Amino acid sequence: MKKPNLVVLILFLSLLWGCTKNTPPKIKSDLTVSFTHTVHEHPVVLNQMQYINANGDTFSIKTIKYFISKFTLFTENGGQLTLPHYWYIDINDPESLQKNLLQQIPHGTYSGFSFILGFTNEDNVSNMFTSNPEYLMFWPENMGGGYHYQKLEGQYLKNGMPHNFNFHSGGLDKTDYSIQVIENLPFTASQNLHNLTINMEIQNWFKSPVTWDFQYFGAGIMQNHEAQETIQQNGHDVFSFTILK
Amino acid sequence: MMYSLLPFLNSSKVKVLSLILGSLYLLNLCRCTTQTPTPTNSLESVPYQTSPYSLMVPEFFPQPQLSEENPLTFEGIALGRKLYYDPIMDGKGNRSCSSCHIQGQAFQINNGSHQVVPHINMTWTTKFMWDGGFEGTLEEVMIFEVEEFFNTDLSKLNNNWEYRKLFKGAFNVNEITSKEAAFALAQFARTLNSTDSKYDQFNRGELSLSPEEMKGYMLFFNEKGDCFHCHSPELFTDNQTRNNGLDMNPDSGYFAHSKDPQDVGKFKTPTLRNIELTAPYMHDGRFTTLEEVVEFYANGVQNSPNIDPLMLHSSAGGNKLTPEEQANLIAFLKTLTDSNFTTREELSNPF
Repeated sequence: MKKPNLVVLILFLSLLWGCTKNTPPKIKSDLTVSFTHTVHEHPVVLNQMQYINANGDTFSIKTIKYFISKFTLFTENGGQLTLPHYWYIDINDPESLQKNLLQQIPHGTYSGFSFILGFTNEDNVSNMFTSNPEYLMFWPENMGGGYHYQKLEGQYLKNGMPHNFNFHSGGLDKTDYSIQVIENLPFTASQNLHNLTINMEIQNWFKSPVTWDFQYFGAGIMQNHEAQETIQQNGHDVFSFTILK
Repeated sequence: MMYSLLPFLNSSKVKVLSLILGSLYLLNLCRCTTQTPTPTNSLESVPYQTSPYSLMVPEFFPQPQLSEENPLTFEGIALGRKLYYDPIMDGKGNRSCSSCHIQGQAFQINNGSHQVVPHINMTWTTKFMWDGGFEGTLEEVMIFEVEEFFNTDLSKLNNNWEYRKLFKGAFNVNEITSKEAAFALAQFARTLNSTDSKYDQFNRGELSLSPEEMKGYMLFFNEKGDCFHCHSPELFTDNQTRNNGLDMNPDSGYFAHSKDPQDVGKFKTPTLRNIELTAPYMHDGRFTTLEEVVEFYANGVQNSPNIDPLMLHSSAGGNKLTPEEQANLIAFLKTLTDSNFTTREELSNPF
């Protein structure tokens, strides 16, 4: 058998090396998505009985956990690009507050984006998560199965006495109460790192169109269709956005 | 060679030669006796040969916490089982893990002398002890158990030829240290899994629950009973520390570790699997029956300052379940008893 010519082999390998180094410039951008949470436009301070909602109830916040799914970009020509991700956000877990989408946004100009708070019924499948913390967001089978969209928990005062509230939303009895958020905020994806900040204003959950009354809805609302529908309606202006280049 | 020399030897020479040869033979025998291989020498002949053990994760269960540094092997698990049941682990020599973790009592002890955490489904656990103060891997917990809780006298293990061989075979060590002892215990602990109760069989569609059990199931998994957020399936614990309103001025709980006033009164959510077998209840064992526990959650909850918000009915003093509802809830809780777990041969005392 003829021995391979060493010179040819070295030339060939150097050619391969050269190819690796000459990777074409990336055509997709990085996007960092940061999640922030405010009450009256100030960052949430947990466990402090210091907030007053539209109904006049004093309340505190202890837990904010939720899912964002189907993050979709609108292209200029009317197309849509849906990223194959869901995001789990927990205000008590700093790492969960920033998502890095590396080289996933094709260069170009976009007219806006949308996402779902929680999961649409088609995506809300029981047992799809096998590890914590997502696993613990389950929604019981006897209430329709799948996962909580959101757990917002704390206490409110009534006649000076603290009462717990669990502002939990989800697909009750297979009714889809997920919230679609659409934002027409144009931006251009270029080679620079982009940052999108998604802010949740907690007060807006309790304000419009329905003034939320903790006493009326009660502490637990998972089996209350009226409450779930109200949360879905009030969710229309909960999120606001900032894009930084 | 000897035979070829014989014709040249007379009988006396033969005798002398025989004597010399005989003496040499005897010397050789003596030498053999005095040179019986010491344990260290012959450990080299003990093969380090392990067979990987694949942990069965049942449907609907989350992914277990496994260790890359301490992969499960049949040999490691078998060794861990022996150690679990052997008082040799105790520096004082009179207790084993199994003294307080009895298989028939779901690896807990009911005598009320002290409150231990049952050893159930620890492979899914990252917070250990009643106050959740030990966060880490099972290996780290077991190192604590060997070095501090039991204060194991490792020379006892190292002077035990049987254990020397088993550790060589399972971990390829000539000298046993607390690390290998802990790793063996951790491996066995990862098999102490209760996943086949009546509830599991129901969940898999293999049988139906009785009407009472089913009513209890519905209460458990709705906000009236308000159990499922913390005792979340399939482990029936969320592995978090929470204040469930036992007292207005509760024991320190997780605060002892975090020094955060928000953590006063927080204790680890215990699993409800085999709860029928693991009385007494709560971190201090204050309740002796399930009836007392369910009555506490119905009417005895204290709305203490940092009670967990998941205790939905705390300002009303509890979930107000009627006696019939309480009985149904208990009927459901008893479907979490797993007789396979409490009788399984592989988990039993090997001695």
